[in-house]
Amino acid sequence: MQKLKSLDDLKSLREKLLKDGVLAPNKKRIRVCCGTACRANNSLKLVDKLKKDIKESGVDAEIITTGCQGLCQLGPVMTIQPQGYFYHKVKPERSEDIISFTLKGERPVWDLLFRRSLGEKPAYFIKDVPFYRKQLRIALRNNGRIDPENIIHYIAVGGYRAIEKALTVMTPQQVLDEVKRANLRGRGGAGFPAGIKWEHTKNSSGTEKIVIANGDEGDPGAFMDRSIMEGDPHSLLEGMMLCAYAIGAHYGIIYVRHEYPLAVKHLSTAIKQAEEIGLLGENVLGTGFNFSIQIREGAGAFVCGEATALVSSIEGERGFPRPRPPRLSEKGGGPWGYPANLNNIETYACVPAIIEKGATWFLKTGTQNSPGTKVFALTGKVKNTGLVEVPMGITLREIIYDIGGGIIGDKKFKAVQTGGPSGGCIPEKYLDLPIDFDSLTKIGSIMGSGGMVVLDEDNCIVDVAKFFLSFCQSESCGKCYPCRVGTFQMLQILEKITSGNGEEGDIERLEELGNYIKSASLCGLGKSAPNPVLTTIKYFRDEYEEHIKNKYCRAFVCQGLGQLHLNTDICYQCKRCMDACPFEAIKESNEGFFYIDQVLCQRCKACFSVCPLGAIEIKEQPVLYIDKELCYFCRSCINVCRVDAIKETSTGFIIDSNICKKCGDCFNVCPMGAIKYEKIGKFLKVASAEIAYEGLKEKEQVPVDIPLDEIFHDVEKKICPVQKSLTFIEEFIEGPMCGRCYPCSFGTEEAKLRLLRITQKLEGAGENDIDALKTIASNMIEASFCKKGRDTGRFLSEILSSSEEEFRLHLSGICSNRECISSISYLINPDLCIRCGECLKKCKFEAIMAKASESRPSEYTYFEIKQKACARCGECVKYCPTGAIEIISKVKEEILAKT
Amino acid sequence: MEIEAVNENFQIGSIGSLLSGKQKKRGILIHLLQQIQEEYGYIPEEIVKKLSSKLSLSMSEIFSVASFYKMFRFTPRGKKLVKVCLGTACYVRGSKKVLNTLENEFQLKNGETSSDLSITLETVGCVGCCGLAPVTTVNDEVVGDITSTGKIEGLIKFIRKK
Repeated sequence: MQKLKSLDDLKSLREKLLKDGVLAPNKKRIRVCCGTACRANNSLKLVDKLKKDIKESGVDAEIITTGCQGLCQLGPVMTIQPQGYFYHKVKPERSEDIISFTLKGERPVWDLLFRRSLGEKPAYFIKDVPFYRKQLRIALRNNGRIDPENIIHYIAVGGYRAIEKALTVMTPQQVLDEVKRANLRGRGGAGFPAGIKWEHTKNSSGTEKIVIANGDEGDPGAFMDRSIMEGDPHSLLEGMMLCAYAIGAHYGIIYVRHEYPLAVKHLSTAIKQAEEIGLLGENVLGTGFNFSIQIREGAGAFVCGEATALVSSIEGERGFPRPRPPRLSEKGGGPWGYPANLNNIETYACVPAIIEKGATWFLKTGTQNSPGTKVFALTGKVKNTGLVEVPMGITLREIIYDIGGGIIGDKKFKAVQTGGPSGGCIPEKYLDLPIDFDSLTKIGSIMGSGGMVVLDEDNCIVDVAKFFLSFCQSESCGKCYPCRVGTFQMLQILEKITSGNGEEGDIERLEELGNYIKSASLCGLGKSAPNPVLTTIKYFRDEYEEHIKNKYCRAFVCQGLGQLHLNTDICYQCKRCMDACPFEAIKESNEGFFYIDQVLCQRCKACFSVCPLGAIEIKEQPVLYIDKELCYFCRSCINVCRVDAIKETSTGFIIDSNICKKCGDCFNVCPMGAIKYEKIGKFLKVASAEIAYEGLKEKEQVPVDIPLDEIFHDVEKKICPVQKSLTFIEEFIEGPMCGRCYPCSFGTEEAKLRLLRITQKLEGAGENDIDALKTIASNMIEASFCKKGRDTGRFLSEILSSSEEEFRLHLSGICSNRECISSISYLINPDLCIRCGECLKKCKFEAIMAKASESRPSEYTYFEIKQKACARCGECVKYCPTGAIEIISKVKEEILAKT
Repeated sequence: MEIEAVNENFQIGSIGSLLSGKQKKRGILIHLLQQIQEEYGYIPEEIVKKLSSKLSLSMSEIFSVASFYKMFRFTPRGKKLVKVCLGTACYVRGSKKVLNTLENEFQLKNGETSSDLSITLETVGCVGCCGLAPVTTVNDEVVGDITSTGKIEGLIKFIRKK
């Protein structure tokens, strides 16, 4: 290709191209989309086949492989000139039809035209397709029209006219003023005005400046920048040239993800062609303007999309962000300390259009504060996914329902996540909000780079928030701990909630952590990482609460929540669920029906997804409770419970709802019908305090200020000083302790533990326990806030000093008063026992063994106490009429005598 | 790739005129690592040694950079990547047996690559196809429901054919 030596050369080349009919509208031409998505749908094979067939048929037609045309869902797509027919889902074997019908016969191939539904008329042309009707293309103006690997095409459609205009009639300051006046806001996310950024860089002190294009587009579900780099690389180059001309830079760097091989290829080709033709390099078009561009490939780190991390990566360091200032536009801020202007790919792609047509033209579209258009990658549960460019100020409803065609399967819309993992979820009530940078920030989300993921009623909002957060967590670079530790902790809490172990207070904890991370993180990644969680809590708090309180996920996504139930009316026993269940929880009952064994079921939902009839239903978990009025303590429920969820308290039985699997066994076995169930939501409000935790409630009702005298009085009944102090401390904790000052609140808790260790002679009990008790007592005397605490300290201290010997005896397992249960045992003295059976009746723990006499059945021959079962409650001693039950110290009498 | 023959002025491109020798050497590091990985499939230690003397950077610095980016690997990987899912659902349905059979068949332990670099055997937490458990992926292609001995043999044949 001949090198252009002056601006006139470029003009004459363009005129020549027009005269030669390059891309002239009246010629037969097929534009096949060869973007990444269409390539995955075999568009390259289609192009080969078309080329071959056209050659054979002898038709004079041209084939252009373009970049992404937008409607990725229905790829491969193509447009045919001169008629302008738009075909979708074209398979390679249809190439002959296209040639014979359209190219030769000039009529459309009917079944390749786009139809909304079978009954409707097909859309012949691209402007009739609803997906394209509301779009306005500025950044994507050439995408789908030209061959990205051919600079001639770009020049023929008016490319490089802006730089030509700038170099001929505009000074650098005029270019800058024009961009500033157009109020072009950075398309990368935050929306900082590009013109002001350029001005900062221009005015910074420094000999050399660098222009950087940020193509490290890592958000899941976003591909705007990729499409521009793949489909129209020259407009990016031209935008960078204009920026360089305005701020006086000579070097440009494009930072691209390595996951975009096609973008790298097209960009390198474009740069090479521009250099060959003389539009890049030294002395561009003979004007004395020098500018060269290089490509830097990233190496797979999301955080490198952040400006300062990107600079570190360009320099060959680990991609860590650093605190600002210095900003990139200042001296010492950019790569190797040179001031640099960093913008998003889409921002640069808009610049040529602004310079060519003027700021006034640009200001006509969009809203007042956010002029122009924005490219969105529309994905998720919409009918037409793909790339859309729309004017700012359009409503979400127009994008989702008019362009996107509505929700798949006409389900209910739930939310839309904008801005990728850093953005937020927008609920239905904001669907009619005109979107621009400011309005989205106001409702807690961000524009971001333009990812738009639509969620419907089948998406669980907590699960979605978890997904985005887990992305940020795994991509956190680990430099600052609010982000590194905070996101991990938030993820753990979300994990807990979605697996059915959520607790009250988790939502508040998430909010607190999220706000800390937002305010304390170093870079944009951390500052925005909690956004998805915070906005979903803001707009969908009820769904979080449902997960935590009711253990129910209304979208049936989260595993471990809800209760799976097999509806026997629908089930026709195909046994698919039995095969699918990894836990063998689906069983056959005696009556021949299938049922789900709730104890084995882990709620993995394998059966739910495999059932062809929908016989497996997911319901809210009920809560079982015992009606105290009906229960007569037969214990049959305790015996039948496989998970030991039924606990015995002093006032009766309760079902621990955290352990209970809701299998219903106890419900079936209870002879009195005392076991009842309710829905959790109702239960939590009404029943919890009244029924399940009656014992607890009573405890709470104990008047807080019992005088210590009463406790002293209770304690006097005990003889062993260790028991005395333990009882005192226990009663003090349960009663008068307010927990206000820590010498008292922590001290008594600690003392209780130590005393328990001593009385039970547990492992590790020793001299240090006694020393610790002394310290606690003296601390309480000195530092407690009120008299109660000081008195307790004094009591403990007195008892310790008066009978320290007794405490030490306990350490060797001896309680000389025979009160502490580990050091004593009960024995039945056979000489005194008259075998009346009184003790057998009184023992609550079934610790007394007896054999009935063979000769006289009403009497017993032999009594013994099972030491393991005996709880040393003393009941039997009280009731034994002959005093045959003796308390024996485990340590021999001799040792006792010695000490 | 001949590390010794690398010309940093050529690799860094025209921007090199702004930079000192040290900055140039540092600046091409990631680029060179990418080229090495493309050629060898991973980053071998001997090459890092050579790279270290060529770029006057310590090996630890090179590893520090390379380990930050997800793209770089330090162990070779076979052409066929076989991942056996050991997630809960697969484990319960006998994926351990699948793993053992594959280990014996290819004489590899979990995480190893065969000496001719044809196959790498790995395990994975959960592929997300619990309905098809037990699952194994071969170069991202999912083979599911490997419940019987016959199906394991089918899997082995499938791996060999790939």
